[in-house]
Amino acid sequence: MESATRIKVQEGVYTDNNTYFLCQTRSSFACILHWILAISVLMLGITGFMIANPPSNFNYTEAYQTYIMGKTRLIHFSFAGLALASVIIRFYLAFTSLCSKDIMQFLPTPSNVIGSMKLVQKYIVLKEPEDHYRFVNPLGGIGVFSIATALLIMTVTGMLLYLPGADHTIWGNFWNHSETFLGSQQQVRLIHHMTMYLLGLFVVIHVYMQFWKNTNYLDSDMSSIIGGYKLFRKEELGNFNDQYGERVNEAAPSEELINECSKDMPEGPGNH
Amino acid sequence: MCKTIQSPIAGHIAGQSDVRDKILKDMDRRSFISFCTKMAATLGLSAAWIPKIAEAVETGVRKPSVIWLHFQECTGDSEAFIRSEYPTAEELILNLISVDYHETIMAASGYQAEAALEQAMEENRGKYIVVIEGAIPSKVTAGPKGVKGGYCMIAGKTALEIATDVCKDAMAVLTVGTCSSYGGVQAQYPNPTGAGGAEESGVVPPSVPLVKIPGCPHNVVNSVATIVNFLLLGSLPKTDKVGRPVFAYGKRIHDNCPRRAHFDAGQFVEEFGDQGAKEKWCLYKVGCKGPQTYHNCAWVEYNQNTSWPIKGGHGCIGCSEPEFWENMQPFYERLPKVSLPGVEATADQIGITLVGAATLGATAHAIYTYASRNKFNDTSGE
Repeated sequence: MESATRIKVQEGVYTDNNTYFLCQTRSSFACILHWILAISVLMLGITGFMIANPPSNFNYTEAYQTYIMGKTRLIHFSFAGLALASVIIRFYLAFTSLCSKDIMQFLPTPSNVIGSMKLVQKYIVLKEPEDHYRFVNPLGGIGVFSIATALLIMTVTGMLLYLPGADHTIWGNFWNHSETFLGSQQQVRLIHHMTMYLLGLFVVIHVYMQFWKNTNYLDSDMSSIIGGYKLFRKEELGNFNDQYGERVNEAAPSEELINECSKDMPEGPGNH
Repeated sequence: MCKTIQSPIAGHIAGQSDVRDKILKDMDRRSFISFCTKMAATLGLSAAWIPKIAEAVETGVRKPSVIWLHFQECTGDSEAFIRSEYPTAEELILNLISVDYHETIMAASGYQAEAALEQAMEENRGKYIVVIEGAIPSKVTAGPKGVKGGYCMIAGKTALEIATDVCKDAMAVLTVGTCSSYGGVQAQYPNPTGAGGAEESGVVPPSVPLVKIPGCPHNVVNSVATIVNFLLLGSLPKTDKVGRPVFAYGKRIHDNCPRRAHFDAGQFVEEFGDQGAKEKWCLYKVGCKGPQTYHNCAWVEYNQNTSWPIKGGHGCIGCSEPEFWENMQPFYERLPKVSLPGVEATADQIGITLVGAATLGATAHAIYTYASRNKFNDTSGE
């Protein structure tokens, strides 16, 4: 970000020609966590399919000479741990990180639901939304909330399959009651299997939406998820629906700055 | 270690109780130690407990009276019970416990049998163990003179009344078999008789401890071990979340399966009769429910350690799990079918439909976007 011509407007916002502004939307650590989770979910899906429908193996040797299913399960459990760790750390960051005190944007609050409906409408009629979001937009936030819920279900059911608790310990009792609530191990397995498809559904929509947005809008999240920064036009900056901005920076983009940036601009789409 | 075992068996010391003489009469020392060791292993106790088990069984001071009730069932659990080898059925019935009422094996019949039941209840009020075999219906029978629970009646009384009467003064209730534990096949949809296990039917008062020994049939080793646990400690074994003793139902079949090595090796029976089946490979792909079933079949086999389904080449059907007739269906596939309104499909069919629809939708939207590209980004809005 330290370019000769690039000027730091404020913490996390840079510009070089006063037309395009580069805004930091998430820390690089959060970016890394996203890709760890993405790879983990991909690997969990592949190995999970192999565990649910093992490939035929006509290797008529002694059982000890091959360990393919055991290895598949090992990979599955390892990536499950990795995914869980990345989700827990990201959840922590959603309350604490400098650039990511953003738990509110992931919750289905009324404003987020209304914002998502507006976005869906714009996506269908192929118009650029009037509101610009520096961070995750409401639709994306609800998507993240859905995947977090699905991952929670996957974690609980996966742990029930992995560590069936019969001990009279606090840990065992917790799992016992979860299993009683969900039914027997067979129901737990079915829920685990069906939720995997829900995750697959989310991944298809998520990936498509991101590519689609990237090819059509400037403020795509594609660059932000890799580098942590996102490009905005000046008029978009003046039109931020940045309800979480003040949580990120000590000072939101000041009125003077926004006025200065947009004083010689035509009226933005959101201003009328 | 063997002091308490040797003295009565080898020495024939006079003055011991009749009970002990009876139990030891036809049993040689080797069989007796074998029995005690097996009980210790089943209960998960160390070798140090074997003399104590021997002592408890020998002295038999707490020889409990047992009332065995039959309701909606196939007598499979009695069949299993009378095939006990260590101890043999007659030792078990006559000496280890005092079976005072058992409709199938008792000599008496008619009024005499009813009198035996009442006598046993009267003499041992608050001290007898009730063993229930079979589900208890609680639905009101059809017709103008509907009787609650009238789908199973013995000697003019409904199963519900008999069980409630007998259980209310019991010291403990043991439900053997899946029917009395969870209702079994007759309790599955649409459950025309309103059948349910002893607990669901509400025949067991909350003050009376209840232990469930499910299985279809139950393994007699587990019921005998529960009784030995009682003789040994004077209490019933600790149970899991669905009322089964943890010593027998604490681990999944899959985790102790003799075919587990083939699972880890990815060697599966693809269909019954193929080479994999001959090689005794894992039955996971032909619907074995071992991974979902808590039972100790894998290390105490049925019929005097002769065999059990997976050893015989058939997958587990999960008979010791609650409502297994519904939950574990279909028996030859890994996952249950999913019932949606008007549709019954496998989980994979539904999932692939969902993800496929999303993919198609995304493709359609992409084509639509491409076709309308000239109108796109017209940010004036109007």
